[in-house]
Amino acid sequence: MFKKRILLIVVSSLLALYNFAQDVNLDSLLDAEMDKKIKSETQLTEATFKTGRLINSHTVETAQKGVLDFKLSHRFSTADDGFYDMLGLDNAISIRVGGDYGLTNRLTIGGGRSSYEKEYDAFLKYRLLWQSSGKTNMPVSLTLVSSAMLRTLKPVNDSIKISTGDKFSYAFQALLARKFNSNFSMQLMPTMVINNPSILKDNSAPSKLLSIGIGARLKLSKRTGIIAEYYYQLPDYKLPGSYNPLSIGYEIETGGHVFQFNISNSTGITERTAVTETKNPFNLDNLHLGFNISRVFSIKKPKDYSRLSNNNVHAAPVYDTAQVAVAKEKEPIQYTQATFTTTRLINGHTVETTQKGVLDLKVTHRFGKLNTGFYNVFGLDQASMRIGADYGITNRLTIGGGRSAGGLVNPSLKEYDGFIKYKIIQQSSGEKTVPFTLTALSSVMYNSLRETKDIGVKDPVNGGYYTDSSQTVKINNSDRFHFAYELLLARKFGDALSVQLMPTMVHYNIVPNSSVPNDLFTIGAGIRVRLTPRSNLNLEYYYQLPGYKLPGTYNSFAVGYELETGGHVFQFQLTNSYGTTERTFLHETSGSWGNGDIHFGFNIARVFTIVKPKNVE
Amino acid sequence: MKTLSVVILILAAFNVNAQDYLTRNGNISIYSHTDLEDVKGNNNEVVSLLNSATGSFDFKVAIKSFHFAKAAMEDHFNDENYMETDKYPKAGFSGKITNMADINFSKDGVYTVTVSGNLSVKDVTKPVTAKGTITVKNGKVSIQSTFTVKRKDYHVMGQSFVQSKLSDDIQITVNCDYDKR
Repeated sequence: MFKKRILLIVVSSLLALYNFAQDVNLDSLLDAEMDKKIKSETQLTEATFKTGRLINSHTVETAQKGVLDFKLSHRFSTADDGFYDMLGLDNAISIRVGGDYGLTNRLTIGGGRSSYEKEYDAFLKYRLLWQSSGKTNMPVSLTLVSSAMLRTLKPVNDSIKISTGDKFSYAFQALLARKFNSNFSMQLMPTMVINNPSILKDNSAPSKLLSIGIGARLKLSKRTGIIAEYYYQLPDYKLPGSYNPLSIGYEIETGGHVFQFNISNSTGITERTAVTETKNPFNLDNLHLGFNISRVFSIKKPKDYSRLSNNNVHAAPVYDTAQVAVAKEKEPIQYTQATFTTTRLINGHTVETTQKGVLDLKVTHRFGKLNTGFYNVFGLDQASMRIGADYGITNRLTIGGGRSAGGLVNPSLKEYDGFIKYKIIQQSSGEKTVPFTLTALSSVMYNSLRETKDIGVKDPVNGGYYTDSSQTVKINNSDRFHFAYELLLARKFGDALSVQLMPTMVHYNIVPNSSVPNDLFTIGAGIRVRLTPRSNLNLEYYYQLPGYKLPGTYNSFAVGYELETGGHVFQFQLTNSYGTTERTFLHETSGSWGNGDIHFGFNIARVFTIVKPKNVE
Repeated sequence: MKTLSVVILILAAFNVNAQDYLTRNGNISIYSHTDLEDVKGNNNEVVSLLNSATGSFDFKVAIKSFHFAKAAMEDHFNDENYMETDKYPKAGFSGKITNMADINFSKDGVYTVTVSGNLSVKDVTKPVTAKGTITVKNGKVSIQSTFTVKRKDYHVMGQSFVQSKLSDDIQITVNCDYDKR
């Protein structure tokens, strides 16, 4: 019996040792599992291109199921008038606003409206083949695109009647692409555009137009790339006088957005206008600067985790949010974050400053007045723009500037601005309680409108060139400057509500009317009401003190809706102001809400980290 | 002869009672909660080894196997501002059950356990202690645990503008069903 027990102990300890000795190597086990998985599954090649458009053309990419890809494209006028028109940037002669929506991961529908020739378009896009590796090896992707375009521009001569059916054009494309490696993708784009013969100016022109396009993307860095596309029109199947379009662009992809800057000899953005109706060759006089912005919104929420994982999914764990919250409360001083979502409420500044080392790019548009009717899509065909940026020197000190151009909304607006902004007091709670935030702002604006209508200068309003200089006005350089000083006092009342007061003084070096003082005063009030964690309703109103305002102007009032998402803020608004600098919207608002002089507009703010924050705080 | 058969029986018993439990498809999820955004990532390809004799616990995960509801989130998670997956493709945990005396792996039941060990994420290895439960049923073992780590401890910084949307405290939930090896 005793022997047996000894034996048992020996055997069991041996066994234990044996078990220790053949310890599993989890690393190699994991590698083997991953390897097995890669071989047993098909890996669809993702991101052959970054978005559904190369520059003007479609790419093989389709929108993810349930995702709306909002598209905004601008083509500016040619750069031949130099810096006065900011290389054409003052006039967005071609704007397309549209969207792509993923019905399934392979099937996308979409449409848009272009201001160029007042054109509507709609398309259907299907990804027939999807490049893949692993279980199924597919060397290329093939996507078919079918689109219809409707031109609604009225003929110059009213007597010409065009039936609606004749205003349609159709395009068919077969896009064949391959992602050669993570750096380089290329696609071939055989294209057919069909015009209705009755709208062709030249009866000898073919109605079926054929071209072969080629496009490519070359990755420069993790998030940026160079893109290019070119169409060769078959000699017997092109419109007389049309040129082959070439477009070259630079793209930045970041968190659900793609920004593309491009130059192109084509003005239009749809297949008909860009591929077959490019009127000028690719040379310095005929280049259009342009940009495309693409932003995805999840309309239908994807089910958690379901996107790629196909293993047996465990029941989603219940997350203990309280635990996370408690851990946070221990911090001694809590600075109030995000009193407002970004550094602008609608037109005016907020108390917010830009984080240190971060550049906040701002693009704002104010379209024409809503009361201009449907033909001009309620003003959307014209835009007054500001392009600028804020940069955080420290977390409290921001400098910034921009350039405003009135476009066709107000051709006499050509202005540069610069500002400096400092957050003096920061609202906080906890150990140190401060009830409000105080920021001071000082800005300078320079009006760069040409003073003379010299013979030979382009007339931005009526087109053509000036022929008489009778309206000559000379403006001294110093009189072009305007200065604004503003104090911003804000308080965040919980997450739901933030309020700010903005007393402002604007100094004009010269005022149009001698009975008006050079220093003009306003008191503004702004409110942000939270609708959902990511969207807010914004209101701002500026009251001009009687006796300190320009005659014939109205108080600026704006209502906005803002969406905040991954480093971006989108704001849509209605306002009676066409400008977005202190001088223009505070004191030169000529429209009245009562008369229906309301501009639809949007602001886009996008932050870029220029100086990386240090790893450990 | 009798002795031999007893030994064989005991050996067989030991084999059935082997101390190694293994999973190839365990689940680990990570969760960040802020007012602005909730981020959840899920990984169903966790390999883990549990030794019921010593109480040692080992996990290995491929960072690439974490999946998120949005494609963009997943891209960000793997990029150089967060997990740097190309540079650090795996993360792991190696530790021990500290209250082995309370657990009987041969008896069905739900046991509360405390595990202490080292969590390795990216280039950082730090000690972590987590509470959880071990469920033994019909010879199968499953574990469940939720604990919180500070992401900055593991050099997961993120760009400055996402800081308000990403909690400093990341909740990690582990769910694994083990089979005997």
